[in-house]
Amino acid sequence: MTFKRFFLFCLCASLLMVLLFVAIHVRLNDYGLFGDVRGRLIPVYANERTSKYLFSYNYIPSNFEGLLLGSSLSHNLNTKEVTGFKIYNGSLSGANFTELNLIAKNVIKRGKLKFIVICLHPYTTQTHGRRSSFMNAHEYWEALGSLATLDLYRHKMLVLLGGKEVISNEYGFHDRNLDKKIDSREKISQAVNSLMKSGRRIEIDGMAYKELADLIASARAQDVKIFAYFHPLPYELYLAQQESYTDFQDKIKRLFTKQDRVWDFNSGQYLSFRRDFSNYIDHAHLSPQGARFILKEIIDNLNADIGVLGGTNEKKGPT
Amino acid sequence: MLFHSFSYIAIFFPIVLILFFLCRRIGPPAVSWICLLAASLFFYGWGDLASIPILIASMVVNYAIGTRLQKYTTLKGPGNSDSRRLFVSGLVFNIGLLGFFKYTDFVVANVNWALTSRIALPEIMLPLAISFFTFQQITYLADSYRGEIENRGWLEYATYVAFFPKLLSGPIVRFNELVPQLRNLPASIDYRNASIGLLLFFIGLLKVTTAARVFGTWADNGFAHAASLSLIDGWTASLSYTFQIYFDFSGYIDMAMGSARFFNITLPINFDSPYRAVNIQDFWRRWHITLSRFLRDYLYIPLGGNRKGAIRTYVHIMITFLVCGIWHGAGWMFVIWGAMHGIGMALHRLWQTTKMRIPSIPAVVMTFLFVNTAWVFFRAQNITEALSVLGAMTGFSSVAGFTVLHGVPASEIIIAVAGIAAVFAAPNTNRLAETFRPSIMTALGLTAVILIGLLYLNSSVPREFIYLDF
Repeated sequence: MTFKRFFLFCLCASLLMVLLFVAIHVRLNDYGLFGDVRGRLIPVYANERTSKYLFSYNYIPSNFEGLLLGSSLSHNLNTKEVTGFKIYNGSLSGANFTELNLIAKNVIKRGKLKFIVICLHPYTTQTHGRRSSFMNAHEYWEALGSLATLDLYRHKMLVLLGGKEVISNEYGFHDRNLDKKIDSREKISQAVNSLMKSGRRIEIDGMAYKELADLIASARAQDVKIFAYFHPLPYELYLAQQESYTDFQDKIKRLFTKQDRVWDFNSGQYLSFRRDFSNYIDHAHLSPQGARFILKEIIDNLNADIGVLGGTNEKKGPT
Repeated sequence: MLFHSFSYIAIFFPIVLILFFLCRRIGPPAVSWICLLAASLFFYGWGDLASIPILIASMVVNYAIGTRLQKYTTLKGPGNSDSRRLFVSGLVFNIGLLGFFKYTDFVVANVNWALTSRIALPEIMLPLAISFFTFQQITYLADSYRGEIENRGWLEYATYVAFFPKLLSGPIVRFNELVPQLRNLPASIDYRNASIGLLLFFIGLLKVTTAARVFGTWADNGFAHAASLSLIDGWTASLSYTFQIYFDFSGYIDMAMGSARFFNITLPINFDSPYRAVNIQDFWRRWHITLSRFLRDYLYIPLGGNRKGAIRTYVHIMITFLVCGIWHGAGWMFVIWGAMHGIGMALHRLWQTTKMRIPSIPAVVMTFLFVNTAWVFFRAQNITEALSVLGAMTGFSSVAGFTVLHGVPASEIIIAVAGIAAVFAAPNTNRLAETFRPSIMTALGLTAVILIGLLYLNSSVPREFIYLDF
C-alpha cells in the first residue's frame, strides 16, 4: 500500500463512517431535534437533564401547548392523564430555576406555547446555577453522535427488551417516587423535629429569585399565560415554619401580576388534603393519590381560566 | 483555538492547508509564509484577540535586537561588548515582559503578605502562550549573540515565532531547527508526511479526549476532597494527576507535531516515555525535552554548569529547577515542585559519585514515585491540600469517608488500564511514527483511532488543556 492510498483511505473511510453515524442519529432522532416531529411520542430513556433540555428545542414546542415546571415535587404529576390540553412535564429532580429556565426559554422562544404552570416551593429558589455539567448548548451537536447517544441507545435497548422502564414517559412524567414505600408520618415528624431543632428559616437566593422573574418575563413577552401554584406542604411541617413560609410566599407573589394566576395549596381550603398522610410519600413528595388530586385541581383551575374543556382521564392509571 | 476542537479539525486546518498549497504553487515561498503567518495570528487570536498586539510587539522588538546582534557579530565577531550589552538588554526586555504579565500579581500578593499591606492586585491579563513565545525568542537572541543565526528578513522570523502548530504550548523550537525547513516548503502535499501527520494528530487527540479526560476527572474528584481521602484514594488521586498531565500534554504535542507534518515540518520531540526513566536526570531527558534543553543550554551552562566546582554545580542545579518551577506558574506550589526536582537532581548527582547502580525496574519505580509525589505539589491549590493528599498516601490520614472511584463506569476503568499499559509497555508516538508503514491493517487501525477520537471529542467532557495555563 502506498502512502497516498493509505492517506486517502483513512480520510475517506473516516469521513464516510462519520456521515453514516450522523445519518443514523438523524434518522433515529431520539431527542426529537430534527425535522417535523409533530405527533411523535418520545420518552426519556437516559439522562433526563440532557433529554428534556434537547426536547425543548423541537419536540416540546411541536407537540405541547402547556409546560409544567418544577423540581421532583411536580415530577410525578402525570400530565399524560390530562385530556383537553397537551402539557409536557418539564420538571427535573433537584432542579432550580437556572435549569428550568434553560428548558422554558427554549420552548417559549420556539413554540406556540399557550401556558406554563410553575410549581413553587422553597427548594427551587434556594440555589442557582446548573446542578450538573449537562444542559449546555453543545449537547445539541452531541445528538449527532456522542457517548451520550450511545448511552441512550443502550438504555433504549434495555427498555425495548423489557429490562427496564423509561425514566420519564412521553409527557415528561417521572414515576420514581411512586415506588417508594415510606412511612410519610415518620418522615414528616422527622422533618418537623429537625426544623424545630435548627430554627432554620426559608431563604430565597437572590439570583434564583431573579431567574424566576426572568422566566415570568420571558413568558409574558410571548403572551404565554402564566399559572403557578404553591406546592402543598404537609400540615405539621407548614405549621412549624408558618411565619417563614408566609414571608416566602409574599416575596414570590410579588413577581406575579393580576393577569397571572397563582394558587395556594396551603390555604385552608386544602387543609384536609394536607392533614392526610396518605397523600404523601415523605415530608414533601406526593403519593400517587395526592399527585392525582393536585393534578385534577390544576386542570380544573386551568379550565376555568383558559376556557378549554379539559380534565384528567380517570380510567388511566399512572404510567 | 485548540487542536482538539471541531473548529480546528474540520474548518481551520483543512482551509489553511488548501490555501497554503495554493499559495505555494502560485507564488514564491514568501506568499506561503504570509499565508502561514496570517493563519497563525488567526489561530492565536481566535480566543484571545487582545493578546495579538503583545505577541506582535514582542516579535518586533526581538527581531530588531536579533538583527542588530547578527550585524555586530558579523562585523566584530561573536561575544563582543556591544553584542553583550544588546543581548543583555534583549534578555531584560523578554524577562521584563514575562515578569510584568505573569508575575506582577504574585509579587504584589507576596508583598502584601510580608508587609501586611493592602496594595490592590492589578489583575493583569496573561497573554496566551507568553511563556512559550518568550522563551523561544530568548533562544533566538542567544543564538544570534553566538553568531549561529543567519536571518533573511522579518517575514521569515515572524513565521518562525508564530507558526501555529507550536505557538501555544511548544515544543520550544530554535530558529535553526525550524527556519531551514520553512525555506524548503513543498509545492504539493507529501503523502508520507501527511500520513504520519494524520497518525500523530489523531493519536494525540485520542490521548487528550480519552485518557487525559478520565484521569482528569478522577484527579479533580480526589483533590477536591483532599481532606477526606483514604490511603487508596490518596494514591488514586495523585496517580490520576500524574497520568492526566502526561496524556494531556504529550497528546497536545502529538497534535502539534502531526499538524506541522502536513507542511513537511518536523518539530523536535518533546516526550520520550518519561515515566520509564531510570533516574530523575533521565526523566528530564524524556519529559518536556525542549524546555529541559532550553534550561540546560540557556541557563544552567551559562551559569557555569558543572565547571565551577561541586558546590556551585548544586547551586546551579537548584537555580535551574527553581526557574523551571516558577516558569510553570506564578505560585509557591510551582516553586516547591521545582525545588523538589532540584533536590532530586542534586541527590541523584551525589548518588552517582558512589558508583553504585540500582537495577532498572526498581530504578524506574523509584523515579516514578518521586515524580508522582512532586506532581502532588504541582496540582494542589495550596500546601494544606498537598499535605492532605500526601497524608492520605502515607496512610496517616484516618478519614476514609470518600471514594474517588465511586460510581465510575467500566468504560473509564478500561481506558485507564489501557492508558497505563501504553505508558509503560507500548511504543510511544515518536517510535510509532518512525516505524510506521502503510498497510490495510494500519489504515483500519488509524481509521478506528480517528473515529473514537472524534466520538469522544463530540461528547460532553471537560476539555480544558492544562498546559495552556503555563
